[in-house]
Amino acid sequence: MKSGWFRHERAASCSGFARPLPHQGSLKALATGTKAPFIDAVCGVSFEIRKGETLALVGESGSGKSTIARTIIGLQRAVSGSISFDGQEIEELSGAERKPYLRRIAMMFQDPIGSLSPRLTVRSLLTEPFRIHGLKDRDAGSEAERLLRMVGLPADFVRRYPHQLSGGQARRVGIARALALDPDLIIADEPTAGLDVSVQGEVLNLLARLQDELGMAILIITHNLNVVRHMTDRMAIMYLGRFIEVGSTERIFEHPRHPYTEALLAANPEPDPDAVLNRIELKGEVPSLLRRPSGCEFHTRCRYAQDICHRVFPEPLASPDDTEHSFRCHFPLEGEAVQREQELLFPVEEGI
Amino acid sequence: MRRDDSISHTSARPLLEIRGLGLDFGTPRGRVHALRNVSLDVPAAQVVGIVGESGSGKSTLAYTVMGLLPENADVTAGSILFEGKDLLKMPAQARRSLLGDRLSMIFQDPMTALNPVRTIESQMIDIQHHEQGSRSEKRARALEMLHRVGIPDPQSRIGAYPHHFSGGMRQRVCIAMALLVKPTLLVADEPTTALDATLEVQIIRLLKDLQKEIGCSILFVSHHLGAVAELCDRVAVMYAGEVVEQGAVRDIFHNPAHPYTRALLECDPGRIKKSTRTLPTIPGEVPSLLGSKEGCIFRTRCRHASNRCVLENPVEYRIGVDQVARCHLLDEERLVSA
Amino acid sequence: MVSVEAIGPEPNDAMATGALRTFLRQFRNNRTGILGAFLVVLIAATAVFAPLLVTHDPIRIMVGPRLAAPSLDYLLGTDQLGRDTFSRIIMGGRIPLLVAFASLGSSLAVGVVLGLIAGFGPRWLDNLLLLIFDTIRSFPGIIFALAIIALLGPSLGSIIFVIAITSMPIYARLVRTQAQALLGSEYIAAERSLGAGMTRILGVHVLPNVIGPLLILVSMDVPAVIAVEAGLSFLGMGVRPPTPDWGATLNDGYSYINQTPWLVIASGIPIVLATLGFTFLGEALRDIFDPTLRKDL
Repeated sequence: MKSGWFRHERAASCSGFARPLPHQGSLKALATGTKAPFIDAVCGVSFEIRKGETLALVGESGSGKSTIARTIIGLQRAVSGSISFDGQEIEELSGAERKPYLRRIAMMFQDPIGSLSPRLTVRSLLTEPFRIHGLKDRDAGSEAERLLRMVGLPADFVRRYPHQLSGGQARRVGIARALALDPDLIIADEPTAGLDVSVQGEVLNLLARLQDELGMAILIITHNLNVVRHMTDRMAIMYLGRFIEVGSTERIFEHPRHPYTEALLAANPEPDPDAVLNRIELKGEVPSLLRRPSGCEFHTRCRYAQDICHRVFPEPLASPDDTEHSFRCHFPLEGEAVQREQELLFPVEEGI
Repeated sequence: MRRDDSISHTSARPLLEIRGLGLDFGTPRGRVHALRNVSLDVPAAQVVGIVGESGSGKSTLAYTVMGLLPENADVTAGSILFEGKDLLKMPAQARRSLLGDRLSMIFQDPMTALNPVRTIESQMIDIQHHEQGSRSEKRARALEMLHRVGIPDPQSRIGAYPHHFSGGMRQRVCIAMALLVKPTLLVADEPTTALDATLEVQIIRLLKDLQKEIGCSILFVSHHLGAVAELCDRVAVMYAGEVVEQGAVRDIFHNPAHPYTRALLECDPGRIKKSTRTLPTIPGEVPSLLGSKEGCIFRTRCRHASNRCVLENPVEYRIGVDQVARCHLLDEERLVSA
Repeated sequence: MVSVEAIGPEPNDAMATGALRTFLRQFRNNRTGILGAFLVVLIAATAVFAPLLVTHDPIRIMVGPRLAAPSLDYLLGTDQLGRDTFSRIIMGGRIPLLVAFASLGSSLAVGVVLGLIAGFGPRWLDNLLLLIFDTIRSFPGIIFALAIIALLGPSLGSIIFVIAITSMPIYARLVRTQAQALLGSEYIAAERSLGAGMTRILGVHVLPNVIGPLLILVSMDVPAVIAVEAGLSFLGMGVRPPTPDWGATLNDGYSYINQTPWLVIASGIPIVLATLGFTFLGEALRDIFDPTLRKDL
């Protein structure tokens, strides 16, 4: 891996920032007498990404993971907290002051085709970053072809329009555009969304290879734990805008400590008709951000919930043998206890 | 909760028999052969899954069974026998009266499948227009079904509009409406794709329980192998408009015979337990379906493709009791073993 | 409904390089577009070179008999004052085309700017602009026109001003709706995340997307403007006799339709041709500006 891209060990860090979204129904806000029609989409989230590292933010819709990405890139403003990139506080910067940092942070958006401007050719799309940042000395044609080569697309793709690309090809163009300015950090929002399984692997392999070659840090935002497992060093699981478990990917996959993590891990098992019974069914749905549950916010869906979970908000605990692994749960799962529990609840079938 | 093996391959006639179905879409660029020689059985009281990637024609097949095709679609060959009668030869009126009675459907997007300006109550009462009974009886049936699909407090929620429900709840309402008419065949087109993973688990469980309870058959279209493995009794694997392999769910997942099925299963990251930086893929792209098709449709991406695959369209080869696949390799294997 | 998911993107090797060549190649394949362009060019050229084309003085009365049928001398006959209809029709296109281009051009320019401001600007400004648009639209057109003309005096300038003001809100509203839809789209967010400024986003990404629907709207408005101009002229609020004008001639023709149909036919044909020409051209431009609608790719 290359070194010397960063003066500091941290590429980006976000600490304790909260991001309220405007509440859509003003009528409701009036009825309940709320003065500010805001809901907390993200609250009290702190994390850092080290250079060359891959971090995953995992959660279901409404967990606030995309909001974090959009706040880092400046599409939304944080209400409190700080975001620093390479030692520089960027959350307070105005649009123009932020621009040099946007050169070094690139974002890939969810919709592979919809995130490409429909009336531009691939050539224009790929060289748009140069024009935006006033890099006129670069030769647009050769740069576009160089970028296409990097992501494994033929050079004659420069003349195509986004609607002439398949999902996988459009995703590759998106990656190429993100790489145009040699970023130090790439934020990938659901990099496999809308792609077939056979293509998902291609895109993830490409990202992994480019990271090995170029050494950028990647922040992956996804609901798909399978993406996380093979791509990332560390992961954070989000629920209702908070981190409920953070730690190294390997460790969390082996020993999930939060019951929600456990359920997410079980939600996409291997496709085997005889192994289906280990799927854990969570009851109910994610509560509304307008009505956060008391105590532990997961207690409404947790199968291990006790009385204390209704009343007391759990503080983050660290694993005794791995301080990087922390979780918010009054009754964290123990490695062996999890095994026992599953055996009790779901007797393993003998034979096939 | 053990899977009941005795229900497979009964001698009785299947509920739905699709035979040699071909379907084209007329486009400005020419005719797209979206379905080619598709044959598929849905036995009574069984769940049949159709898996495939985008462009495989799996949704088109579901919509063809329902008769909900766009203007430019044109069925060129084959038959769809439902309860012994050919849906394609039926007068339009007779076919329409089957919908929402013997046949019903749930869609991928539960928001657009419900009328946004009418209450759940009025929509659920309307859908029972084939049934006898007073309005209050129909309302009572609707309430019971909402309760059955797990809508909390149906008495007060039935008067609500679709936008008052969350995505998962809306899909439950759609399922309640589809099953309210007591169909013999429920066609489900990617019903869990728009939902989060933890909700998908719930909906799959719900469909499974309701299917057992009502005894209907389900044609379950999905790209999600895990969901199919969990819910279905039988599976058909589609690729570029053809059914390349079909059989009992265990056979397909434990002993896939077609190279595409094997590759597809290998690609599923859920199966790869060890952390790896290089995931398996299927190189190449789905071929264009314009123009006539000679030879095996998968040959351009197949590791085992030979000259025969270019020249000859593979027929269905039988593997074991209840599994067929379209691949020349199987013919050669048979020759070798014989 | 069912999407034709089976159609994969087709490779497109034969694409011409350069935007203009692409445009022309697109245009060549669009038959109605070519017909439309031909008609528009024909009408515009006729108007420009009208003085060279006329066979008689279009204003002089009694160059021939009254209400004569077409003959070699008077190609389209004569009117009730014995003026040569052919010459009057040739010259008569100048006023309506001038009014159409001047009024729609200025209302388009103002409408696009106000629409973008409304679509991308702060909420209060959007509401204020919408209020203004709706106020203008709420006046009955002809009454509004009469009021303005009473204020400014009857002249060509007044007509242009009235038409520009009354058609502007339609364009502005269209631009606003499109802009707001685009504002939420992912590719605009992607551009912003690259550091693109507002002018770049508006100019490169939003404007090309709103120009298509606008063009078709404008080209379909041209015939309506010609009719309005004719109507106002008829009421004595626009051009005064004896200035030749299609609308005025058509109105004259109605009065004498029992004696001869030639006046109505002669002035109706250019109005129909202009209508068709601008409509075809507008539709073709829309198809070309929107690459997703292109048929030959």
